[in-house]
Amino acid sequence: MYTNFEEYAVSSLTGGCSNLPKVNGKLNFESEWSQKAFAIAIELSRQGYFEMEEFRQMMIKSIRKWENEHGLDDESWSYYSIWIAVLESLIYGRKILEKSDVTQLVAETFHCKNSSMPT
Amino acid sequence: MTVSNLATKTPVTVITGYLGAGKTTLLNNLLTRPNGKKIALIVNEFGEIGIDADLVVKSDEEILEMNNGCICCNVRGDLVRIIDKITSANRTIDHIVIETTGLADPGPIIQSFWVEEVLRDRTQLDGFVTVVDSLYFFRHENSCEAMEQVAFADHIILNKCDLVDCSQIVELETVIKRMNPLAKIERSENSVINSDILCLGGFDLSKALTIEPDLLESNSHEHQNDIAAICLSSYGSVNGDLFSKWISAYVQTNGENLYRCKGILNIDDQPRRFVFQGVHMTLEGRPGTPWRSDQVRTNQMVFIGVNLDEKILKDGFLNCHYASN
Repeated sequence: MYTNFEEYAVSSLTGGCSNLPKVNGKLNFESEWSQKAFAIAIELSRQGYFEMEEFRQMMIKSIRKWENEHGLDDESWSYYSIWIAVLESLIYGRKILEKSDVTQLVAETFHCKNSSMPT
Repeated sequence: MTVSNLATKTPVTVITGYLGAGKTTLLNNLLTRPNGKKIALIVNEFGEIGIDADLVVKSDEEILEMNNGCICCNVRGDLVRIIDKITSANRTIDHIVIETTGLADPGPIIQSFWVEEVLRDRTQLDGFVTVVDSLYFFRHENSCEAMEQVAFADHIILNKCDLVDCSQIVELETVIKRMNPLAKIERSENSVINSDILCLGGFDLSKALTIEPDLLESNSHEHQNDIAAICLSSYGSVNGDLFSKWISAYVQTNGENLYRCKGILNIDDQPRRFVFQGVHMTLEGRPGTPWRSDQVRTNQMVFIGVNLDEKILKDGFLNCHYASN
């Protein structure tokens, strides 16, 4: 039983290829932006903008697409790059930015991503 | 990284009912009615030679037999293996229907879908359908299995209505409603039904919005077989930690007598409902759909079982509430 949304969200993203990256059982973030992207997605879902299951299915689809287009040993693999692409797709596709005041938070995260992502 | 176990979960409908109630007829009606779905049918029966599967009309559907015993007792491994096979990556099955033996105990069957990894990851239990023999129901009152099949159901089909008079059907409906106020009751003759029993959403917590208000107003529903439904409702916010501890302890202590429970709660004033359901000692709960901003948040719970003490439930639940200002 998950009465806490964050625990539920992490649990629902555990297992299969959408599995959250973990090290020694703890969530592992590649960078500051990946941590923020994670937090934004969980908070938006907690607020009811989308379901975690929708997010999980989109992650699965995107990861499958990436795997079909890249070798499994491709070092450019980044779980949270796919995560943020899915998040962007939901935020813009559902016009969440127009509905809420998350603009600043998302803008900060995207800026953070641009400054620390490998080119 | 691997792309295994990713497919959408296959819905499962379990059809049960006491011996001779009309389960196989219902299946035949279901399979001959075009619904555009590729159905895998699992027939569970006693004995080494399957009989029921031979009675099922020939169709495009795949029929698998489990005849080493009753599904609720000792063929859980068989069920897992069959569903593992059905849901493997290269198969395209839209729905799985399981016909149990007439003596099946529903609790362990439902629990398997929550505790067995293959079933939990690849399937979604959609509904538990019970066919009731309207003519002989009261003769089966001393059968625990027959009563439990009613108490656990999401959808109850009162079959053979043409063989009893109207007042008896009304009496039967009243008795059954008291035993299981959560289930929808449908009358039928020759197991012919109008409802789409493959789309009940009976165990889908993600869609749970409310419990019938009429049900909650009537509080307790006693039945002569000691099967009772206790309905609780309240306003205010429930402390998630306290509730989690209380309900877990309650089902550990009373799980044997608790057949099913369901609830929709305002936990910690979160934006989303908290929804839970349980069978015996097994519980599952998760955040559900968001509350509307203009909505009065009501906590609603229903417990169905035998010898349940309403006061203990009520007091325990009230102790989980935050103090109101």
